Amino acid sequence: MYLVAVCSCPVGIAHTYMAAANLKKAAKKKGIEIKVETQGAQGVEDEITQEDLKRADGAIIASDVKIKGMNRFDDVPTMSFKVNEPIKNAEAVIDELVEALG
Amino acid sequence: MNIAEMVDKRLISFDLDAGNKEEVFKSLAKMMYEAGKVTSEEEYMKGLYEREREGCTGMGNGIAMPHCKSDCVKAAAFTLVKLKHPIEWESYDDQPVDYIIMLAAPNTSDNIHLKMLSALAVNLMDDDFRNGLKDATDFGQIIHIFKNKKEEE
Repeated sequence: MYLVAVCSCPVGIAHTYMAAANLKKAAKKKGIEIKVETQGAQGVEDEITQEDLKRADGAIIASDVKIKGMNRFDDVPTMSFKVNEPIKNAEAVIDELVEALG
Repeated sequence: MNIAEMVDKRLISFDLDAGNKEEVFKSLAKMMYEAGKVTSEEEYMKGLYEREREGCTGMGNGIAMPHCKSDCVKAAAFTLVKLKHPIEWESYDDQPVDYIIMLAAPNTSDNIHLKMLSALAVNLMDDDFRNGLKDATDFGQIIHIFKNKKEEE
């Protein structure tokens, strides 16, 4: 399974990166490959590319603000969360998506 | 650059006496100002309150991380402040907080110091790092924790 994710928050120095770190940690624990794009004060990093999207089984948006390039995910099963959800429990976030994917 | 280099003695306290969020903001904004990190306590506090309105900054485990990005910030900085008594704070785990890591970020992008602040936030997700900071009782212990933290992935 290959998942992609985008994290973003209002200021872009703390929550974005905490959420991203937790998603990576949780995916690793579950043996799931994940790529996490961060849209923060440092700009866009680890951008999800068209190649990533072709391979992706599902996408996670963890953000309290409108993310850049939302239309990229039109053809990928996508679930949206508040940025604090993966900070609290990233495994539950991934489980929810995986379950929905069937 | 290592975050340990950003640890500033003037922004550390082990027994701050504050009864609520506003008193914490006032005391810490003053510390930031006196350490030369911000040009205006009022402007900085305005930024903090604006961010608070966007959603809670209590990260759970008794730690709050209020922060803002503002023109009044001269240099990226963070406080490591233990409170004498836990206080009410909107938190992910609905528990009071007794440790305040307040971030100040200048209005720039592509800045190594911004990266450091984000790395600090990420490090707080690590139980050992977080508990070590909360248990530290002197400056030397804090530096030791920063120098020996796990490298983030």
